[in-house]
Amino acid sequence: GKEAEKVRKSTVSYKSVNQMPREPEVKDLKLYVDRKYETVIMPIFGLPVPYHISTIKNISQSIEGDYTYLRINFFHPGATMGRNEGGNYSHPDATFVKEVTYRSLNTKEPGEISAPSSNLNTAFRLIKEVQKRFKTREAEEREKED
Amino acid sequence: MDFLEFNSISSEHRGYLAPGKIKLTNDSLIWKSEKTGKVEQITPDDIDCVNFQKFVGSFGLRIFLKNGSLHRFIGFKDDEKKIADFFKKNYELDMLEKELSMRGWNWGTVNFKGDVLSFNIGEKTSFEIPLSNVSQCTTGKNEVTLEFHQNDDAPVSLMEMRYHIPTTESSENDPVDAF
Repeated sequence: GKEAEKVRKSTVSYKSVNQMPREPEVKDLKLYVDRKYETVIMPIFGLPVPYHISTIKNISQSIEGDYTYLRINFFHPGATMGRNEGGNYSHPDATFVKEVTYRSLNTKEPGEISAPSSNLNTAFRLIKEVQKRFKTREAEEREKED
Repeated sequence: MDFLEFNSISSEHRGYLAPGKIKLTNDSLIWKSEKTGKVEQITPDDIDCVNFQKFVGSFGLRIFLKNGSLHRFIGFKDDEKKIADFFKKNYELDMLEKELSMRGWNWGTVNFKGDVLSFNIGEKTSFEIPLSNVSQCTTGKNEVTLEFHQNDDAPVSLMEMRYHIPTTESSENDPVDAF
């Protein structure tokens, strides 16, 4: 009903490509966290692909040798459900992206200001931040409704 | 001879945008790498379909070949009309827009065409994976894991992707067969 509609609306990232941020990270196929639209833009073989923050369950980062790894886990059937996520699972035939892992070099090339992995570090920090804000707001809205 | 030339057009390779330039002549499409001088040449007869896709501040050409492989050239500015006319006139191909899903959802349907896996949300494509980029594919209960060849030229490189697949869906074994 109306409730579901409201939830759905807030979990759509962009209406069209024109709303996507014009940031160099998006063009250069790096990860970009759009705080305004609460969306993480991930590069997948040449395409910047948006994922709304509500689809992301948790993230983890690790550094091994010369590389930094960023793993992003998504909500999917069988995972612990977010309370508002019920609507998403009304598509029993859908395939879900469950997890993606990115890798990036820690070492700087001559002439580079920062190592490539700084992009993953920034993404990690910002995803956490946006996720926290989103969850807080969600909780507040639920309280209001009760 | 009729031709179009564009500078600063990148060709996408495993998530890396190789800088270069592109030239469209009446008998082929030639992309030349700025760094290595390497040339990619596509003849119109090999093209199955050509699409353009809007990105932030630019657009890209998506060229799907009859042999099943996918080529992407990115960095075009406002010339879609000119390019579309060129394709129509010289190659007898319609360059149609292929819209991308901007919804931000992680669920959809998976389709295979040629050597390409596409993940669609509704009618629109969310992303596509050329299967030549996949180094390993493993399946588990309701799950498929794809591991990718790494490219250190890319600022960030996609390593692994895991999908949740609904039960009793036999067609989903396709990625395994594709290797």
